[in-house]
Amino acid sequence: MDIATELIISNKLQFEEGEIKLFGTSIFLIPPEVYMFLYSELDKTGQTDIFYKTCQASAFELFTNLIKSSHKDIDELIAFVPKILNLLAYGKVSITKKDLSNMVFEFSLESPLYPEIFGKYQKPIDVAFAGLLAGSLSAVLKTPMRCIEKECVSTGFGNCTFVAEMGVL
Amino acid sequence: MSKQVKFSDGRLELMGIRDSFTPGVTFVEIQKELMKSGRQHLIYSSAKKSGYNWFKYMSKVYSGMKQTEAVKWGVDLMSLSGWGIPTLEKLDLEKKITIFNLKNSTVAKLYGKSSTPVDHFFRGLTAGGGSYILNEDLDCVETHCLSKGDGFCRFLVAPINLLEVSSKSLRDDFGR
Repeated sequence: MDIATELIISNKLQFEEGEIKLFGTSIFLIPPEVYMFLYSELDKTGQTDIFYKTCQASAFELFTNLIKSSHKDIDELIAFVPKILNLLAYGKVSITKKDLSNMVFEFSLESPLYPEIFGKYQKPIDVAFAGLLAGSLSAVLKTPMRCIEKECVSTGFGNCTFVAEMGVL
Repeated sequence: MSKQVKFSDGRLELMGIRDSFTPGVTFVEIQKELMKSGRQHLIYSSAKKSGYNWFKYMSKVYSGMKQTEAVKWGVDLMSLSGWGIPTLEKLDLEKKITIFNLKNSTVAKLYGKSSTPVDHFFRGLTAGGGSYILNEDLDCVETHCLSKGDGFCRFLVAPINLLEVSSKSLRDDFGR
């Protein structure tokens, strides 16, 4: 059974008229073009970190709710991070490095949504997704985690890659 | 509509267009930050462009669709997208005036109380969609808003000269 079906059956992903909730957190479908336009505008004034911070806070809330309603151990919760983020449809997420003792993780994002819309850009553009990863891991590991996009399809790489480690951006 | 949703391996396509979910709090916090500096028009204008482009794409894929059918599709799509429960109140094709209601606006609920209307994204989508469907540059004002204490949100889409808009609103809400 895929994760979406599993969550729908267990009532943790709810589609009701005019409302979608994932672990009790409201989520919307937003056309990616909207992100592109907003990102381009906010980049002019150096304010794109707002995407990181707000996504970090949302993911922290979402995963805090998830942890409350599940009985998973730390490894299972870490494995859950890409599964849940896959549901948000930013691309295919997978963990490529997991060093729990040093709290260093790497993730890859295949067929990433925003670079597909943006095309080429002078710097990595997935700050929102980096924020989602940072917030998710902070909740799961119960310690502040920061995340940066190391490689981005928009800057010429084949996949987007993200590094997460302890700390705050 | 449900047959038009494809979802697998981190990829979601809605009627052939790639889409994604965003936590509502994320969107509302970005909006609050922009509203502090009177730049909510950035959300409005980005949603307006996006709404326009969506209907432009749909008209190519489903050519021959009538204007009234296109509006109905837009309403269904918004309901599916988690923004609340939209209904079409009035459609005057001759005067190019449309009125939508939105019950249980998710943005308004997450935003909380406000002295001014808060559904700038929905405003933009309806203005953009309406502009394409009715073949004229239209704009939208939110005349009632849950966040202001009204029972539901209401949106008037029309040519800008028919909308009663203050100079402050024109600058902050429309970027003009």
